[in-house]
Amino acid sequence: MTTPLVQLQQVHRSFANVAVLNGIDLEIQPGDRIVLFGPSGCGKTTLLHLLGLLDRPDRGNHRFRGQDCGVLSEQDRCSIRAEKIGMVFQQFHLLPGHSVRDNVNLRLRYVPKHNRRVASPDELLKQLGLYERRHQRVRVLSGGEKQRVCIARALLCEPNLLLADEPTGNLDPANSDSIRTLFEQVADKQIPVVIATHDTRWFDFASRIFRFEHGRLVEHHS
Amino acid sequence: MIALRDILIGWRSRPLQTLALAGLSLAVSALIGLGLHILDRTARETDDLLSAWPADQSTLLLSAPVDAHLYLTLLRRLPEGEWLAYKLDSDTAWVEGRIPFSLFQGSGISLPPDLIQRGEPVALVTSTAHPDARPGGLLQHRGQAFRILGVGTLSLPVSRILPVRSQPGRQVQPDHLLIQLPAAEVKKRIQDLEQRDRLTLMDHSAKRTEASAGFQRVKRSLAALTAVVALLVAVLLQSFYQSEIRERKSEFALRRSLGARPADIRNQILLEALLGSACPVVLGLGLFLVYLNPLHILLTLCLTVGWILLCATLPALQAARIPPGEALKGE
Repeated sequence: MTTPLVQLQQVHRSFANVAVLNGIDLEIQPGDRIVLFGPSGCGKTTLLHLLGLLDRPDRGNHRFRGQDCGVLSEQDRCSIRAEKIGMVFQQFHLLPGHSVRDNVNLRLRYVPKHNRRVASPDELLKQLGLYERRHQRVRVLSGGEKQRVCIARALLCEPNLLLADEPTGNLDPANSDSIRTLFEQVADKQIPVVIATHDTRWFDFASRIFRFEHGRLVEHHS
Repeated sequence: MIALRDILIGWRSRPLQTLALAGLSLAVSALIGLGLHILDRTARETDDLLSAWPADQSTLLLSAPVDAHLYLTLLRRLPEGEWLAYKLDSDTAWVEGRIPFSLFQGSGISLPPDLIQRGEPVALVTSTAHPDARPGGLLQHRGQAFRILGVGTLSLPVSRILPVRSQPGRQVQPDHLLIQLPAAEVKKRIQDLEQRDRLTLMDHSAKRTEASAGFQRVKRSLAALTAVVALLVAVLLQSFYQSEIRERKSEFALRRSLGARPADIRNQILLEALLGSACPVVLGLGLFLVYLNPLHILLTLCLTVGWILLCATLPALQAARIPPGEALKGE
C-alpha cells in the first residue's frame, strides 16, 4: 500500500478548554474526494486548518507525505503551504483592491522561483471564465466569480492537496453548480480534494464522506 | 520585484492610508529640517558672537565723558600698547586708537572728524607742553610727523596722548574700550574704579559663557521639541499601524495561508513603512535643501526613516504573530 498523502492519528485540538477535535483519524490518498460533513461549529474548519498546516494539534500525529508535521520548522510548514496545499475559503479571502490577476498571482509571492510548478495564470483564468475580467478589481465581482478567483489562486501552483471550506456556502444554486463542476475537474486530475460543508448536495461529489460526531470523524457509507 | 509590486498594488488599493503615512512622514521630515536649519543658523550666529568677544580680551565700558583723572588712572594701571580704545556715536567723530577722543570731551580739546578720517598719524597736545602748537599743524615725535588734531589744557606728556592710526577693516563698536589683557588681570587692576567712576568691565569669558549658554538653551529647546514631536509621531504611527493591522488582519492571515513566513509579514510591513516614509522624507528635506548641509540631510534622512521603522517594528512583529487559522476563522 502506498504512503498516504496525509495521515492524522488521534489528533486533538481544543480552544479555551473546549475540545473541538477529539481523536481524529484520517488518511488521504491521491485522488480522494473527501467531504467532511457536519453542522456549523462542529470542527470542520479547525480540521481543515490542521490539514492546511495553518494550525497545530494539541496532541496526536500529523504526517504530510510521510513527514511528521509536528517536528517541522515553521519555515518548512510555510513552504509546504506555499507549494503543496491549495485552500479555498467560504469568505473567499481575496484582496479587494487588487485585480483578479494580481489576486491569483499572489500565490506566487511566497513560492521560491526554483520550486514553482506554475500553471499559466491566463490559461487558468480562461478555464474558469475569468480571463475577460482579469484586470478588474475583485471588489466588483459577484460571489461566484470571487469563488472562482479563489479557486484559481489555489490551483495556480498545482497543489498536491486542495482544501475547501464551505466553497458554495455563500453562493446561489447556479454558481454552486459551476463551482462544483470545477472541483470535479480538479479531482479528475487525481488531486485529492477535501471539502468541509454542511451542504448534503456535495455527497454526490464525494468518494468518502465523514460526519463529525463529538469531535470525532465517522465515515458515512450510504 | 514581486514584493515591490505587491506593495505598490497594496498602496493603490489603500490610497487614504498611504497618503496619511506619506503626509505624516513629510511633516516630520520638514519639522526636523526646520529644526536643523534653526540650529545651524543659531550655531553660526553664536560663532560670530563669540568671535566678537575674544577669550583673551576684556571690554571696558566707559560712560562718557571720562574725566582726565580716570583716564590717567587707566593709563597708569593698564600698560601702554596693550589696549585699544574707540568711542563713537552718531554725531561724533570716530577714531580707533589707543585713546578715545571722548575722553577729552569737556576738556577743551576739539576734534574735527575729517582730520581723523584721513588715517594719517595724529596727535593731541597740551598747551602747556607746546604753547605754539595749533590744530592742523605738525608735531615731530620720535622721528615721525603727527598732525595736531587739538590742543588742550591737560597736563599730559605728549607721548601719552598720541592716537594711533586707524586700522582698516576693524569693526568699530560704540562705547567700547577694548583692552587686550586677560580678563582677570584687567579686573584686578581696575576693580576699585568700577563703581565709583561709572566704569564697567565686560568679562569676555562671562560673555562667551552667556552666548554658549544661550546656544545650549536653543539646542535644549530644539531637542525637547524634537523629543515631543518624535513621541507624538510615535504615538500617531503606532495607532496608524495598529489600525492598519486590525484592518488587514485577514490579509496577513491569507498571506500566511499562502505560505508567507512570519518574517515575510514583518518584512512586508517594514518595507511598506520604509518606502512609504523615505520618499516623503526626501521631499520634506528638499524644502530645506538650500539651507542644510549634506551631512544634516543625511542625518535627518537616517533619523526620520529610522524612527519610522522603529515605530513600525512593534506592529510588524504583532502582525507576524497573528495566528492565521484563528484570523481566517474570525473573518
